[in-house]
Amino acid sequence: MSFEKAAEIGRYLKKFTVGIAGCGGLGSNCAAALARAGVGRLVIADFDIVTIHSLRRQYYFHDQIGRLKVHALKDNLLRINPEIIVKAFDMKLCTSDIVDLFSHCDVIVEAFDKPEMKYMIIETVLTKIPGKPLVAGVGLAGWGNTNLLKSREAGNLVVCGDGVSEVSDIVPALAPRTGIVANMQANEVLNQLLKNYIPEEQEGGQ
Amino acid sequence: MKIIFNNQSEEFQHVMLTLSELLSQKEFSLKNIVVLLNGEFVKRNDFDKISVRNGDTVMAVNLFAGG
Repeated sequence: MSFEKAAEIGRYLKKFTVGIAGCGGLGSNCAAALARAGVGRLVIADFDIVTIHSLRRQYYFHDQIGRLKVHALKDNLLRINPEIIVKAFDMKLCTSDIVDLFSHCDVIVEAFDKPEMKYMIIETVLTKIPGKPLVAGVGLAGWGNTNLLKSREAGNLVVCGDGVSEVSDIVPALAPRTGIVANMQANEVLNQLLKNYIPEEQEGGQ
Repeated sequence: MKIIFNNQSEEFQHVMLTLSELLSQKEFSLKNIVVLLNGEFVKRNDFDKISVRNGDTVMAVNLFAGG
């Protein structure tokens, strides 16, 4: 049964920790996918609060407006999977925070909004945390063009998205494309975590 | 020289190019750009010093707002 295989993978994923830097459209949706897949521990960080605008594409609910995103997201993740351990940090991350919070994580997810912050975490992880896989999201603005969304890999960096579209006053980030890229990131995280996964033999198998 | 640039094989007349020269030929903006040469992160200040040679693999990503 496919239920059992997904549960087996969930049990395997329980031993891993994933760090998520930013809890907006990418981070919140990626976290939800990882919680559903069965990842055991998440370290999440963001300084922002939930607003009416967050609800257009981020994993929050109307009754959470005004709350810190990290606290609201922790609640939502625990509603999905009560066994998950979530460490929530209400802070704007700098280089040293990234090393402190995420060095022990098995994989790190870049889910910032601003390009300068994206650069900062990519440089920090690739130069200060050797060997640590980092999954970034770049290019999610607008709608349609689903076929342009892809993932690219070099060294310890995986980049998901179309790599060209920029969120602006004219081209907003909307739920579907943001959600696709966030879930691509979660998919690439699983790809890293399941590298050494050996499926258990099926009962009555050959 | 022949290199892999963003997953595509490309040929250049030159025997070698600095990263700055390569990025300008490829019409990449240097603003918020991340470059990995053979899987290693290259600091922005080193783009003029680091050269790309035959057989190298380069990934260049301009970072855009949105998350």
